[in-house]
Amino acid sequence: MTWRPLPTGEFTGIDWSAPGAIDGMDPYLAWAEADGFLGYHIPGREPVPIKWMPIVIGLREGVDVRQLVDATSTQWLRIPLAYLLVPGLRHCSARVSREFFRHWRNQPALRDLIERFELGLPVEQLPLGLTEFCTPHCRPQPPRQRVRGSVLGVIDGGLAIANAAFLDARGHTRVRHFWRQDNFYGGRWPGSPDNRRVPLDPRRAGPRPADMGYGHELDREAIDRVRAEFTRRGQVDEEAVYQYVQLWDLSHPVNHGTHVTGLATAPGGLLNPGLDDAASRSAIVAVQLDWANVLDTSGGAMNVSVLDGLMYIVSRCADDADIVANVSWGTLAGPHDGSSLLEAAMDELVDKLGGRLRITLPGGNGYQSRTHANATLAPGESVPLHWRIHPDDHTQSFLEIWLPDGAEGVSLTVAPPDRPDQARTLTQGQSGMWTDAQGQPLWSLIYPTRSALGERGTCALLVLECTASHEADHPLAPCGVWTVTLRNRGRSAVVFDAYVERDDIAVGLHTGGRQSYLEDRFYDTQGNLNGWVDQPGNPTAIRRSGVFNSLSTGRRTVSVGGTRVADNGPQNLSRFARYSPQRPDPGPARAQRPDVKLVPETLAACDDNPALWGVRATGSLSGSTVRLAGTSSSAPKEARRLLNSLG
Amino acid sequence: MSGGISGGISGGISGGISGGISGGISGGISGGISGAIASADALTVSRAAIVGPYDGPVLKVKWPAFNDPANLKRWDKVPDMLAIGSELMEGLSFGTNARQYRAELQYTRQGAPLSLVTLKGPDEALLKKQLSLVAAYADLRTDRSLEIVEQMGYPVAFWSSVVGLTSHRHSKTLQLLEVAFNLTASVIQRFKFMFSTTRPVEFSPQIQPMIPTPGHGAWPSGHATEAFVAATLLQALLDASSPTTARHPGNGVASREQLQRLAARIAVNRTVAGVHYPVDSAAGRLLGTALAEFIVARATGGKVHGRGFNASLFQEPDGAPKDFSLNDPMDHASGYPYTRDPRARAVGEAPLLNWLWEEAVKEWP
Repeated sequence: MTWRPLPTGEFTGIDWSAPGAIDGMDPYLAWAEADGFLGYHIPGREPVPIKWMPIVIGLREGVDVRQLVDATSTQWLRIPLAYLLVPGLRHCSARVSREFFRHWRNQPALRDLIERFELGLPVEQLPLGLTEFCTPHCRPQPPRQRVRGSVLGVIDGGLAIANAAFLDARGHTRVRHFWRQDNFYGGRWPGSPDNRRVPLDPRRAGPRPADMGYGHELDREAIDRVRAEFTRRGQVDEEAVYQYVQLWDLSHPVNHGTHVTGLATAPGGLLNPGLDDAASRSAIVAVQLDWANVLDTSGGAMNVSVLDGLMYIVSRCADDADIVANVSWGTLAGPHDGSSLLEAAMDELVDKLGGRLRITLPGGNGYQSRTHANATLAPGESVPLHWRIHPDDHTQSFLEIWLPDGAEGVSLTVAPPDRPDQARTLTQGQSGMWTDAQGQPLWSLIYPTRSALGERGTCALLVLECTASHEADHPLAPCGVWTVTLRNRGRSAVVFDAYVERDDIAVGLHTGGRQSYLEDRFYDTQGNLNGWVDQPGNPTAIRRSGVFNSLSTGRRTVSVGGTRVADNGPQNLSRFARYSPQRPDPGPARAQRPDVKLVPETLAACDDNPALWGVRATGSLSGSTVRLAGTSSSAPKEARRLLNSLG
Repeated sequence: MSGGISGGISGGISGGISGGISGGISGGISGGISGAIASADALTVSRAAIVGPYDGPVLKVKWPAFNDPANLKRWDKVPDMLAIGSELMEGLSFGTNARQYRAELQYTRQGAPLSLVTLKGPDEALLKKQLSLVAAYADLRTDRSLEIVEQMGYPVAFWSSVVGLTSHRHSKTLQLLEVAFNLTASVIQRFKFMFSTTRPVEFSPQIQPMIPTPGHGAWPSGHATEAFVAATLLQALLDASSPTTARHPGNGVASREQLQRLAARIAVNRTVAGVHYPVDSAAGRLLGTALAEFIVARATGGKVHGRGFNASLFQEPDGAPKDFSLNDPMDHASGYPYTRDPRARAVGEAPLLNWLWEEAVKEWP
């Protein structure tokens, strides 16, 4: 067991332990290179070297995607064509090769263009690049058959495109364009025929969209055609449809994306025949996230997929269309002040479209999860955080500590459970990792002076390896209580937030992850009447206020908190879903970092009543309904309201 | 009277625990012996065949001393508990003052009465305000439903899980608890009768309790009283066997927080269920603590402080309904809903109870 500096990355060639190497960079990238992308490795498969790494890029003020494309080479930087369809964007996704990092390391010109970038999830461990991409001075044309009028955009997992809830009055599908970001079938989910990874058949799953460069898309004609083909005696055999188009997730009766889309746009059906609003006649443009992406909700997973998804939706809509896009997904860690790359990109897109695009997002479900601490450190003061890591946790755990500007005096001490001799203290600018006898890292603390993850202050990242694995000689971190002590050796008070990243199981999937959380003896877990909001006078640093979907703190996006349809009593317990952030913030006023958002813009019901959580909406097969709980059900209701307000 | 109650209780507690836990292992032999009943006909025929001519009293016996507590170990649990229970009842009486809506449990020793517990009941206006808390607590029903159903009888399994109570090792402790619960049941029912407090279900058709409303008054809460009797008694027992030293808190003190929290949770669960108001739990906390202190004092020749509960003070300063909380102080002399007399008064030792207490102390740790 040794404490070592971070290594030189095999892919980027960056010596992460060199002075300043981590500053302004994505710490998840540094960690991924330290552990050889082990966290992204799919168990049971041979790891395959990455050829093209997906990233999200934020360009400097005054630089746009066109300039970036013209100044670089597609040998090492490839950007989907869609990013040139909206002129003047400063944010885009890209696939970059090792060569990119050679330029990054050696050429200041590239750094003059690119301000920051973040790692996206390599969705597959195959050397997948984009099949089409921007080239210098290219002039991409908008796709044909763009949708006019009011449009519902959906970015989610598992969308039942053949469902009768999404038909128009003449029996044609309202799903005008559907893009799935995956490229292979065969994998960890049930319903796929075997465990081999076989490329999707474009004759069945649809062709690759040229302006995105990966995945497969189907348009209205294709969907209607396949529905007609599998219609027997007047009834559509939906299971056969999904098998044919290779949408294996739809073999589950419950699908998150279907439930969400149903809430946003399904007509009332048998349960609610009066519901026949404008939203139920809306055109739909849908993006299905790749399951491998959705499987591991930790790390920088969402940015590339979601941003590409938004660009797809925008590019498929006419210049005068009104788009309400719903992204019912979220994470827990991040700056929470709108300055993460994805949030900045979403804000920019909404701005650029001048009011024609609105984006709704759930407020988050972690209000009782103890995944957040906030406190003010007076000069000389220190605060310990106790982070409980579970045994049998098969995924890595992440803790982000966000500090504002002027916090250079804060040191961080990390002590693993029962191993006081392995405690380590770092000050700003430092990093390192504990390795086992084979040199594999077990845990790492990366504490730069600035971070690519947000625009203000900095973020220190503490990463722990998993505590259990089915693979022999997989490095393991110890489970138990990890103590993280923040000490302010500076001369002014510092407010900090610590966020544990989400590590739970998404609907219908089994990652083997277990959600870790913070604990101390002051936090009231007894669950009495006053036990569901932060209590005045309670000295705990663990705060419910501030647990918030870190994708939804942007200035131009709409975050939606969750309430109950039937509200039975005193407001503070009965009105809100227990897991949702509240509006107004019920907690006592507390010092925050600048621009932190902890209150949703608006509310919509996501629980029926205190004893029956969740709401009923569209199941995978036509006519079925299923119940799902979460603020993922609130956001599409607000999307629906917005669609209806468009007239 | 008490036979009916304790028969049911002893079946519930020692039968429930010893039956449940020991049934599997020791049930075979000791279960076989203690439970063995051969029919009268079988015994008669067997005797007739083997007895032969009668020889007279040929066996030596150990003649018991009169009224000696040591004799208790000869006899069975239920007779012992009844005898000890009857001793514990000595000197106890109730006083009432209808105008002040007040009832009192008194203990008289050598002609000098002392007030153990004074209760001033809640009026209708207070209960109507408390009702909104009962309605609010319904939000937690799905959280607590498993516990509520399992705690409908004596929740001994929950105490066992906190302090490690087992039937094979702690049978005297279980008997002591049963004696305590027997006294508690008598006292509670007399107080409940006096106030005959209206249950939540009678005030509104929307309370819709999730378990049947019991057939006695609401205030004070029987479950809360019993729960705080158990918490207080177990803490004292653990401290008696493993006292606080200069370097180490006693086992009772170290277990206090969990014992109190469990008692509070059992109490609050009844409000969640829709059958009690928070003020019932508060009075139960007071009454249970006082009764356990009395029992320990009688068992050890110690002293007690009289305690009181005044429901008319059980509200927020602005008149809003007050919830039950473990954080509320119990030891002020006046001016608070819970009060405690600063004077300590001797109650004298009860020899039979003392025997059972000492036997129970030996079972820990």
